[in-house]
Amino acid sequence: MKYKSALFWGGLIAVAGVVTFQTSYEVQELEEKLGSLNRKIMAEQEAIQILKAEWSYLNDPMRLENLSRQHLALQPTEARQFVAMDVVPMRPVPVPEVEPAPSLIPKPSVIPAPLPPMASNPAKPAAGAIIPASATPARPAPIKPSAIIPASAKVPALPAQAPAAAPVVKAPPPPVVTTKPTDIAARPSAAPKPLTAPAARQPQPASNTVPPQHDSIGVLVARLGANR
Amino acid sequence: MTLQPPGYDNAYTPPPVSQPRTSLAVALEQSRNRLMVTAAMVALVFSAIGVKLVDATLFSRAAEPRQRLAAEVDAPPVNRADIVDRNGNLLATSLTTQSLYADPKLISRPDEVARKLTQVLPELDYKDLLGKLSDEKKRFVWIKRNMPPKQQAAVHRLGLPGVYFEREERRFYPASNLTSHIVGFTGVDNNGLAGMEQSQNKRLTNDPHPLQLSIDLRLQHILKKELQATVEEFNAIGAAGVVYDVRTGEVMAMVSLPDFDPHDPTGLDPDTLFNRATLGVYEMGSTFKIFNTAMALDTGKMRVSDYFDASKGISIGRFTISDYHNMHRALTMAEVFQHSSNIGSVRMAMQVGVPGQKAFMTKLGFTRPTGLELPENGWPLVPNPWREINAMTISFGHGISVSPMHTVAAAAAMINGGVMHQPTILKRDPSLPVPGDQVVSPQTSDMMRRLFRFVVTEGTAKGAAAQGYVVGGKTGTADKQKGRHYQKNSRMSSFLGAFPMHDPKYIVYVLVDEPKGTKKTYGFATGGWVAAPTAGRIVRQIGPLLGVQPVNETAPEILNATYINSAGQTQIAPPQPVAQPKGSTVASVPPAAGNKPR
Repeated sequence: MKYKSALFWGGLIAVAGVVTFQTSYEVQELEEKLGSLNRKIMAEQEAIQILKAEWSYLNDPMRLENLSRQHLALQPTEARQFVAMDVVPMRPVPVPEVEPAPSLIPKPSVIPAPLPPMASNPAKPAAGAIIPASATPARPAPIKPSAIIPASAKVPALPAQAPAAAPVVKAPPPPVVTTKPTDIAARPSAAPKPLTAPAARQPQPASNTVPPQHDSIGVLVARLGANR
Repeated sequence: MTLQPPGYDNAYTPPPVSQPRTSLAVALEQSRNRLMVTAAMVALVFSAIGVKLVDATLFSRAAEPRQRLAAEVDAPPVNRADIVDRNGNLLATSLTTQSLYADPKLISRPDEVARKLTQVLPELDYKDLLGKLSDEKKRFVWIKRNMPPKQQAAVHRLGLPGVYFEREERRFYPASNLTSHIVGFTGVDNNGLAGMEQSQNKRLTNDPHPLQLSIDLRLQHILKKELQATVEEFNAIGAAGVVYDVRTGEVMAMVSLPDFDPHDPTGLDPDTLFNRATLGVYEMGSTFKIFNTAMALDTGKMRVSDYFDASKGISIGRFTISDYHNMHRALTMAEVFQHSSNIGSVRMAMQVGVPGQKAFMTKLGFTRPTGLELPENGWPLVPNPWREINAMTISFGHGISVSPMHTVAAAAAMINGGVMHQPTILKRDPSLPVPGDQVVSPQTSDMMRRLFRFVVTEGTAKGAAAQGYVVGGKTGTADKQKGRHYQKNSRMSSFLGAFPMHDPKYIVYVLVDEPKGTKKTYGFATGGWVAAPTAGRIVRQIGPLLGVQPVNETAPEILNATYINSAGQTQIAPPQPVAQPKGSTVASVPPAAGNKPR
């Protein structure tokens, strides 16, 4: 009996010893692994730091500007290229019939107003004509040409069937006259375009007596691309 | 007998009294006692050692970590924190670099080592290197400091014995010259020596998280580009520019030209290291009329439609104060501001009085440094004592010298509703309220907005107009003082502009040091000809980046908020008079812009 219990205890001690040793070796191995992982992490972090610095260096505004000038046709954004959210049209809903009378009446009264000033005195009467127009909607008009659009936009949304002559005609003049005086001088090719386009289109609505339709997409395109 | 413990030998009997203890017995007992004492001592010492051992191994933290920790994932591997702009673009970072050194004693064939090293490091001189490596008295020579990783890999691949790497840190500024005056630079031991590197040195070394500035790198670039163009066009000796958020006091961009490369700031001209925007104090000239007018309005004694006699100069002592453009008549306060009349300004200041002016200027912070977080903060030059003659000259910006940052911070308070904010170059937490003191009334501030706009639509700063952004501002031209005299042909031309004037958000300040007139400007080098067009170009480019929505400048709600005429009326009269101011508003802008260099 005495012998058996001694054997039992001895065996237990031996097993515990073996398990302890094994665990200790495992821990050692894991610690080595952790150490190497830590070193790898440090190396990666250093590499990330270098890459970040390189990224910032390559993103130097001066360098980007030169690259964009060389490879892109983009130019700095101008004030007139911003439009208010409500100027951006919704998906056009096809409306077959638009009674010509209501839109015809206001149009002729508005069209001549902004156009003559272009030729003679650009600003004075134009400004006078614009103010009442934008005053009528009783709604803030955040962007210059949009002051005109709300007045016309009061007519229900219309399809883009006939390219809206009236807004297109009106939209370019402000930029042409006011914002880019030197641009016209500098680019002979670009200059005639915005000037002749309205001139060519202007007679159309008058002769056809087609009611000038209000196409906000047309306005948008005209404003964004008028100077190209 | 029953009390006897078990095993106690009953056989023992003490020696009989008749038989006293022998000397042997005494000696035995004595030695046994000694042994007992010795054993007790030994047991005590060993148990003490045992206790200490258990304590050291089990309970206290041993020198060897009992448990290894995983490396922190986000912790930067360097000791000095990054500096980033308000959008998180890096302005300064620390890179781990390897420096190469050698132990000449361990190099057996210096010529071969030198030849191999010069092959992968072509910038090294072979003979010089050979000399270093052959010197066997030394045990340490630097070969190259701060090598790029590629070179390090190349040297590593050579596998040369006696050549070792040392890990070092080096500050790198990706934006280089662009932010040199703001970020500053560090010395070889990575201690800040200028700019934010110096003022935030402790913060950068203690907190590993990036330090975020209020600067926007894109605005900084635009500001610098335009200032550089102006400096070249007008052959100026320098320039300074600031873009400032009037609602929070954050400096969005700050440029001082000439600037420098922060990687190698040694041996530079002190003028290059000099920050004109914060350290330089100058007589601001007419831009000071902003504060003079606001002061006059804020007293409540004067209204913007009041007339001031500006028909002839004011003589005091041996000086005569005259106007650049003398109108030879009485001017309203609006016209004084519009035509930048010195005489009218003096009359306004005299009505406020010397103590009132001194108190107002002190309130605006013109008597102490701005408190911007840069070490380069100039002390204003303030007259002491503040006499009547000083009050007169201060009314049009002479006789007091302040830094551009002073001017911008105070001007922001004049147009933002009257609240003076502490200017800062650190990004503010947008969720926290911005502290500030009310220095002028909201009514005064509203009037100042109108006057600012008036100067751009019909005054001296038509060139600053940027269609859609409702720019307003005030020009300034100050003759520079050299020694005791003012020089006619060296001046500081400046423009302090703000936009959009119906709800001012940002100030754009441009100061050009000693511009010379050109043919395009008909020889003029005043603020209206030099600085205002620059500011207009800057506004046009930064407006979209700042998310300022362009508006129709002739829309009634804009005009209602910004309109004033030369008679000092802020109401737009019905139809007939309306055409007059509005027509000139629009008509005057494009030709002016067309004349100006773009």
